[in-house]
Amino acid sequence: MKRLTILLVLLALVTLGVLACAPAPTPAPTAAPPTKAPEVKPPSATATPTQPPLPPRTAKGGIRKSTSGYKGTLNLWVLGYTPGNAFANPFDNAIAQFMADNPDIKVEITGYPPNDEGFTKLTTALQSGQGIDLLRLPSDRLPQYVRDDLVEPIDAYLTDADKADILPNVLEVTRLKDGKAYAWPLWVVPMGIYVNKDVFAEANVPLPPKNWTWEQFVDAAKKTTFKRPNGEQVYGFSGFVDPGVINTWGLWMIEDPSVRPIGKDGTFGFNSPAAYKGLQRFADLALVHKVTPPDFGAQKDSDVKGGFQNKQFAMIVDATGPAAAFKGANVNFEIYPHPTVNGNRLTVGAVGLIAVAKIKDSVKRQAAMDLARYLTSGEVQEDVPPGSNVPTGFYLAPGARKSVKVVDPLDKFIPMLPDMWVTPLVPEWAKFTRLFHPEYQNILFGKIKPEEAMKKIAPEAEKLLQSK
Amino acid sequence: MRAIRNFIRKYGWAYAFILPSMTTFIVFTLIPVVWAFIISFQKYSLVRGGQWVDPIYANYVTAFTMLNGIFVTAIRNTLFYTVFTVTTNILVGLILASLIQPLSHRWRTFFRAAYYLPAVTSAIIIGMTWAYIFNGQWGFANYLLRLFGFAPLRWLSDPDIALGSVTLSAMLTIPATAVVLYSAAMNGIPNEFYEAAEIDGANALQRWWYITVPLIKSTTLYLVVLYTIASFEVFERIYVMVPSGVANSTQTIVTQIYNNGFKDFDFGVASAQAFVLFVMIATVAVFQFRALQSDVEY
Amino acid sequence: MKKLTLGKVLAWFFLIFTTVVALFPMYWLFANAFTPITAIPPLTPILVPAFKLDNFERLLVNNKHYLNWMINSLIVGLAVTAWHVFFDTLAGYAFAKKRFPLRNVFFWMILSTMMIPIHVTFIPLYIINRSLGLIDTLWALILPGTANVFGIFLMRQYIQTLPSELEDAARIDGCSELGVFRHVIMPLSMPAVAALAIFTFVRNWNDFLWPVIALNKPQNYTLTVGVANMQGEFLTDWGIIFSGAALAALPMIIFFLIFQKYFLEGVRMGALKG
Repeated sequence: MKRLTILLVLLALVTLGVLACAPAPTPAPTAAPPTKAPEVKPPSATATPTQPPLPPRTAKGGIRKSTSGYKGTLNLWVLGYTPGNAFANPFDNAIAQFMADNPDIKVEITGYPPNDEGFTKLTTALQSGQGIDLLRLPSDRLPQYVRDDLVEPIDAYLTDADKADILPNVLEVTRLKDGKAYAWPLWVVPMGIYVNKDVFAEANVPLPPKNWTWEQFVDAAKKTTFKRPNGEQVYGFSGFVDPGVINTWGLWMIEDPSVRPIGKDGTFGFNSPAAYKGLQRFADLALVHKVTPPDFGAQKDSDVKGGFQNKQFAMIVDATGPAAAFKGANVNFEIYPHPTVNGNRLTVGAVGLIAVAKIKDSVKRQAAMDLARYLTSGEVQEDVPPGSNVPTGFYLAPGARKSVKVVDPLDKFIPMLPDMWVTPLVPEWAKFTRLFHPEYQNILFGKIKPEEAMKKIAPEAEKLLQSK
Repeated sequence: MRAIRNFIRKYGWAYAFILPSMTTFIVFTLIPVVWAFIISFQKYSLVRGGQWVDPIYANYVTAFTMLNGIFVTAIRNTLFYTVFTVTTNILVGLILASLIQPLSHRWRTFFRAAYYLPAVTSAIIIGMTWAYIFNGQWGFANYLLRLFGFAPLRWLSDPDIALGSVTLSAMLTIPATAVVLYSAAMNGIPNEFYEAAEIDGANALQRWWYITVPLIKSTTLYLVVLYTIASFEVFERIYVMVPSGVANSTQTIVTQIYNNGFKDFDFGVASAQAFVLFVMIATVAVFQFRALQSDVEY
Repeated sequence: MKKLTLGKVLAWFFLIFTTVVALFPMYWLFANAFTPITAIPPLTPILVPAFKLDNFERLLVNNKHYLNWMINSLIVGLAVTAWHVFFDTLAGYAFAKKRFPLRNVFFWMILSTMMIPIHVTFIPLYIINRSLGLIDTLWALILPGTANVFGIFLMRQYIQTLPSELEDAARIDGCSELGVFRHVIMPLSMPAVAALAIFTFVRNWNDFLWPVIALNKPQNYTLTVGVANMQGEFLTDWGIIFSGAALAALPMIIFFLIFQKYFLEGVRMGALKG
């Protein structure tokens, strides 16, 4: 008993001591701040390749140097960022260049995953007003932040050079309230079909033509669904289904141009015979052709991407970002557009943006805007060209400015852009996806017919989609 | 003046002793509870503050009607989970405590420790482990099925069985607290009772049913309330095992409060749902108290 | 020697079976954590660990925040436990042994809130912490953590059973009120204090929902939150996920094995006395 007393008292004293001496107990900063040169960050599962030296970090001026005179920290939140992965290295390198020109500004990057949970974290941070100054986000999340007054309009900070360079229709996407632009357009992100050439070779199936039809797609998927001698099952197709993303939507919205969330006269566009047909056609991949894994519709994002990389899936549908990761992991893959249905071509996607949170200090705000401008410019692609730990350079998708040049395999996505549908800019989009998602899952599980599901949610869907 | 100084001299220390605890209690528990109640009748925005809704009970209506009545589904799911989990826990706890009762002190301590060990790990880690056990491709559960020639099940991705799988994992979690408490209660029963019964010709089973079980009624009551409340509040297991929601079949009350409060930042509705949870818990507690009251001796 | 009846055999079988069921999940987690897995787990489940530390190495190399998480959990756990050990005993003593106006009113207030689910307080707590600028700091966990009233309840129940003569004797000997507390009450309450300390620490270590709401940046997470998040981040490396979870469970398991007696005592104390 006595020993216990002493132990407890010691613990108490230690704690009181720690609390008394330390300021608000946030722990020591993470190891390897981005300014170390050259950084050696081991990627998640493979051995560490040696990095070639990065371009010299000498002060260059130009857009890179902030004119604000700000001294302090900026908190940048980046979608899909995990230290050392393909989404992270481009940003780490770009930030390193920025900080070389602005020695008084420290930029801290926080990552959040591309799913419902991740967007929740982002929203929470913005709502809390703490620890977030800039955010890299997709366009379908912007309207709710604009409605809640959480982001800063950028018009006052657009220079003439900016206005001439940014693609006008992409900038329009951010004009959500009072005609003001509420974020810096970064890039345009269509969904593509990733085809694992090794799996096709293993199954002895020739690669389909690029202008393939739905039938050819299903055929390829069926032929690449097989069991290996060691018992491992390979599936022809998978995709990530989650309220936070629309990755798989293109494959059934392609049924007919009328299949869009907001139909004519503001009705619920998915509540139509064409939509039912498209949804059923898509669900049949799982239910009839059986080319999808058993938990298709309930998988985690990492299961889908990891499965593709580990040669469990022959094809997946996904955005442009993973292309860089797969390239870096030496996956032998090809990018295909969506297969055509009834002669229709389509892909879905969003516009990648960098928004600036509401910052009271005008000097800090200027610095944040300068950083945002740099990160969305053509210059950053020059500063962070394709290299071994940044397979496609800084840009992970076709850029939103005329001055941005992208490399393979991203250039394969460019032909899809004219057919791309972008999610509508509706403040209650997140709630709508949460209404739609369980029904969508049930359709994919074969528990409900598309017609019944869509009719059920139509009244509430209309209300949400028409919200302002 | 004089009276005040006398007052302080007499009661000053007492108040000083309770001051720190009462302060944190009031600031971080009492005030929040009252405030949450107020918010449940408001539309609350972090930027603009709270405004009363019209009609005043609108949040409560929205709570039950939004997203196709998902909250009603959630309540149903939670009740399903609770009934099975609590019943199993009480029965298993009682049986195990009874079985180890006649053993030597050493054995009793061993078993109690073995059962209690998993209880010190976080529900998150337990959830992660069960998610892995139920994994479609590499999980132990499907391995066993395959071993015995059955087809593998989609434990956590089939809307018809996902909730059952989560409930099953809870049922298979041995209720350590119940074992420990029942053990202690049984220790308190005087041996004379058993001896007298044995003399009267009662066998082991009869002794157990007519002596042990009634005399530990207060423990049973306590455990039922404890486990029911814990089951109503289930969250970590769901969060870790079925993050995708599996077509709403695994939504529970707390996941709804979390979704509405901290995904959509709809504080008014979330608060309303939290109070619905409170009412449910209070009702259950009062009910169970009355039901098992009869001759509970404290 | 008692004879081996069918009943006994069945009883033992049931006991062993339930022990296996109770311990299997943890065992399997550790077996997998100690067997090198770089990508996907094997089709035949690993039942015997290989006793290699590969996964753990990769965990600590790739996940730079992991040790931060442990430190955060430790800080929060110790701070809240220290608070409760001292102030709950103090308050429990006052409620148990002292008479003062409004004593019963205050105690009834505390008692009545014990049934309210803590989720009710989350939203206002969030608003309060946000306006104080405490979101995403450990204070947001420590301060609300001090408000749990279970400890006051426990200590009051226990101290009530202590004979009052000891206090009176100390007072007669010239002890101040604080002195009485320090020299008489505290030492005699050690069993309850120990139980309280252990429960508080474990509860804070394993706490999930409030920390996940109150903490934004990954480097500020506590261990439980961080481990839950690892599933989304490490795309293809299951070994890291297993070792991360195993390493997070380990401290509490060791803690339990050492202080077993106090754990079980505490369960009894907290429950039966009211």
